[in-house]
Formats: sequence, structure tokens, C-alpha cells
Amino acid sequence: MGHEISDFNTWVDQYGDILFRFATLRVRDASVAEDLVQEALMAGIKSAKNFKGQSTERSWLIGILKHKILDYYRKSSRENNVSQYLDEEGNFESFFDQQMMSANHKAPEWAGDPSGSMEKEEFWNVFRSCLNNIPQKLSQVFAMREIDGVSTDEICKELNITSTNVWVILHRARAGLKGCLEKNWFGNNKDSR
Amino acid sequence: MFISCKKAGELASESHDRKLSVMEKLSFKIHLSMCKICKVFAKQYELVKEMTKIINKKIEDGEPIGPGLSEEASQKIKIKISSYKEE
Repeated sequence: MGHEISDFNTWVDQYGDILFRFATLRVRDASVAEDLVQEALMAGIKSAKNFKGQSTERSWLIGILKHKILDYYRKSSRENNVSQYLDEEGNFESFFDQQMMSANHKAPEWAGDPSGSMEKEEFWNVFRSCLNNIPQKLSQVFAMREIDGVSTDEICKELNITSTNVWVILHRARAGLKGCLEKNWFGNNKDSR
Repeated sequence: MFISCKKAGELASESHDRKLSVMEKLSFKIHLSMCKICKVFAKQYELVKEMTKIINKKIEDGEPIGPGLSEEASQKIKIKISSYKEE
């Protein structure tokens, strides 16, 4: 006996936005995210009788979407070689030096109180855009590690890359994200925010 | 024992992803005690990490941060759902 489940025809209105935002936090391309949401909802419909009501319908659907995203990661890691990207790109050092330099020239501390910023809606929109600014090839590893808390070992296995590459990717992604926040939010004298 | 700012930056990031060796921990600590910029850097990496966790939680809780599902995609999926027939 399955648990009570709501009318499938209401699902898009009920969960469409939340599932899409969940997906785009982890997958850059909006049309891929739309497909993943559709796949997750259809998979939910097909397995509705397995819904036991141990969690809410929403978190159950999020769980299904999570699996679909991981499948997508595995598939795209076979198609894109991240290690090769790291070798080709090679300009991180100058980027990092630039960051250190700018820290040197300006006050390195973030203007404005970070905890105060975190209470502002506008800040999270900026943060969301900055996440989107992380180069695509780095963003998958970043999402796995920082958003879903997957261990480095697990990421290496799933994406078939070395742990050294994972560390380099994460460092670049963090530095990029930090730089973007400085440029668009914590920059010079925005204390009034 | 003495490391460059570049190395310290790496360790600041990697400390979130692996266990640093005793030597690394020590040289990192010494570096931070002498270099204010790197100390601020390391703190900011921590903040960025915390913020990433928070935004994920907010989105899972349904806060409308960033665009939602487009009208077009919604319609497309609705049609797909309404035409679904149980096999």
C-alpha cells in the first residue's frame, strides 16, 4: 500500500521552481536542468507506489532529482576531460597573484559585515550569480564537494579524476567565487549595505 | 617551515578537502601568524564555504533565489505528465 500522494498534474506548479533551482545550483545549463527536472518528475510518477511517506513528497522528489543529477555528472565526465582542461588553462597562478595583489593594495578585509550581508535577500542573489560564474568545468566538482558534501575520494571515483586535480579545481573555484563576491558585494566601502 | 603566500593559499583551500600533514599544519599556522593577508584569505574561504551551505539550504527550503522554471518548460512538462499512461 503506497502512501497518499498528490495529483501528478499539480506537481509542476507545486515543485517545478524548487526542483529547477535545486538543479541549476548543480548543473550550469538551464535546458539540461529542465530536462533533469522532467526526468525526475516522470521517475517519481512511475515509482509513486514506492513512496512510503517517510519524508515529505517534496524531499522525496528532490532525492530522485539528486540521483538524476549524479547520473548526468557521470555521463558528462566521460565526455569532458577536466584534467586536460587544467593543463590547457594554466593561467590560475597569475589570477591568484592578482588576487593577492589586490588584497595587498586594498584593505583585505571584506567591507561590510558578512553576517549582516547574509540576512539580505539581495546578497543571496549576488552569491547565486557568482556561483554561476565559476567556469563550467570546475563547477561540477565544486557542487559535489561544497554543496553536497561529497568526499574527495568519492568525487575521484565518480568522475574518474585524480585527487590532486580535485584539490586544484576546488581551490580555483573558491578563489573565483571569493573574487566575484569582492567585486560585486564586499568591494570597496559598501559598509552601508 | 617557512612557506610562500601561494602555498599558504593552497593549504587554506586544501585543508577543507584533505587532512594536512603535521608539517603542513605547522608551517601553515606559522605563516598565518605572520601574514595578515593570508589570514584574511583563509577566513574568507571559510566564509564562502559556509555561505555555499546556507544558499543550498535556502533553496531546498523553497526560497526564490535565482530564476525558477520557465513558463515554457513548465507547460512542456505538464503536457508530458498529463499524457502519461500507466504501463
